[in-house]
Amino acid sequence: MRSVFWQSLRSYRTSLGVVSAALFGISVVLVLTFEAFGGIEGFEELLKLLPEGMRAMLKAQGGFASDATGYIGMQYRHPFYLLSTSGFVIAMAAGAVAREIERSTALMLLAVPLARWRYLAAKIASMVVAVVVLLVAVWAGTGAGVAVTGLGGVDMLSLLLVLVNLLALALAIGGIATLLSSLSSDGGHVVSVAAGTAAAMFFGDFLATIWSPAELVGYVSLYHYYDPLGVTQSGLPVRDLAVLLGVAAAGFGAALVAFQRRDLAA
Amino acid sequence: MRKAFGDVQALDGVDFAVERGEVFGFLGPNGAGKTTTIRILTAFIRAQAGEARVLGLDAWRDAVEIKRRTGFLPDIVSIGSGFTGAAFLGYIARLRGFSGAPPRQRELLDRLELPRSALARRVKGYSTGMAKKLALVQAMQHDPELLIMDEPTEALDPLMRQVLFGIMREARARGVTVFMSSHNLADVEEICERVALIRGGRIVKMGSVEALREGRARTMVVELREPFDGDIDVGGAEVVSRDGNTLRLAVSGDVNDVLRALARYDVADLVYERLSLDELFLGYYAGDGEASGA
Repeated sequence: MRSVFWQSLRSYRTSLGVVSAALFGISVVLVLTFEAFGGIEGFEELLKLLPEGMRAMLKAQGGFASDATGYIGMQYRHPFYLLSTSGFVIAMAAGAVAREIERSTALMLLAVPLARWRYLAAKIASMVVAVVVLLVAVWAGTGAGVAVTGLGGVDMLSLLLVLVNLLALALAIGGIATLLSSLSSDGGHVVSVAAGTAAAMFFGDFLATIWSPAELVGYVSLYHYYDPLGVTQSGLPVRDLAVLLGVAAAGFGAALVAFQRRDLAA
Repeated sequence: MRKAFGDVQALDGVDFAVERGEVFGFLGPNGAGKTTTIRILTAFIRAQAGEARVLGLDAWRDAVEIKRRTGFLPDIVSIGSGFTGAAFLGYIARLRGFSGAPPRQRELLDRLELPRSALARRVKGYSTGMAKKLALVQAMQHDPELLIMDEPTEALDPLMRQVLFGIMREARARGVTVFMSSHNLADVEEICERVALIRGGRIVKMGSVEALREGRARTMVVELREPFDGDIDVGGAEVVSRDGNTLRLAVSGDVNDVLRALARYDVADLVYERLSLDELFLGYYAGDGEASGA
């Protein structure tokens, strides 16, 4: 099982390194932009000029970041972070089962004395570690940016809680994608359905925020439970974390059962 | 065993037993159900009806224990492109619980002519034959007591085929059971003690190769030096076609009778073809209405 875990991480090491470096870099840049906006006052002025829809995307429609921590936390809603983490887990999930069957590599890898659920559990564990690596890169990048600019008043612990929230979101998406993968023999199909589902949920959350009749739609979107600005202002909501981790656990659990029981025919 | 994929009945009551320590051939044309049977035996898929037992254990429920004692060569050899040959073998060995090289790895690499330089290269640069040899090593390196091989000689050159047969014979001598599928009768004839013919998801015939051939006509092509008009005595064989100087005969009796008859003519060339798998199948199906409809 450990061999599968390490092999899985090894096979993603290049892409993990590249995406981590990109996340680190953009996190540094986002801190640098704080002063470019003219501090929090300048940023508030800018936000006021933005249409309501764009503020909703940042989940800043109810109030602005009142300090540098809030500013940085709000940037963690940037689509780059969401796409990077979601895209990475979806790719890993598709590669865990569906792509192995599609490419017939599963025929030799699963001919060894290892229960299928253990094989997939090792792949899931590598996915968790990969997402943690990505988010550590974000946090380290933010820290580096703060150190370079000498920006004061940044609560790094609070930002870490935001990233815990983002970790839970990524794992929830990973859980759904892994379940899809465990039922499929077509990696491309898994990627498109999982990415489509994530995009639909992001849009649903956005719609619920800007259009009150659609408010209930927001609750079925995973993105509803990821509110970085809220975390920086009032801590990590247990409810949000529980929902996201619950979805992740249900997805991974169902995937383990499905993979153990299904026919593996390309 | 029965297995359907949607509307397609892949296996329709396959039933056979392989004795411990024998080399058993599983013969059939493409789409006959060979790979489906093998994937049930190796727990990749589950039979919808019936039971598959391997090494006395339930093929699905006891899959982990069976795989511990089995080596498997799939019909499709696909290895992740990121692996080098050595890394792949090492990975499979670790998954089988070995911290170093398994007992037979070195010997197999030598005999199948996979040098260290080849193993150091990425598998995506391998030829089909080299990938096949690597797959053979992973299947046999841990010295399993049962080998399940789907088309083991496919993509191997004649020399390597003989090397593989040598390895299989030695394995049999150590008591290893070999179950191999093929659509090549010559391979099966050379190495297998017993064979089963499968077609349309059913076992058409099972027994020794000679038993399968019993009573089945073989083709003899005779080229005469001069055109010959009129009736020709071919010692009890049936003249299937006649094209100028060339006669195509179906020989089902004693070949010596035919040779003695042909000695009276001026024969330029003679080819006594081995019974092809297709001919063998056609022979079996010709008189088997039930199988023909399968």
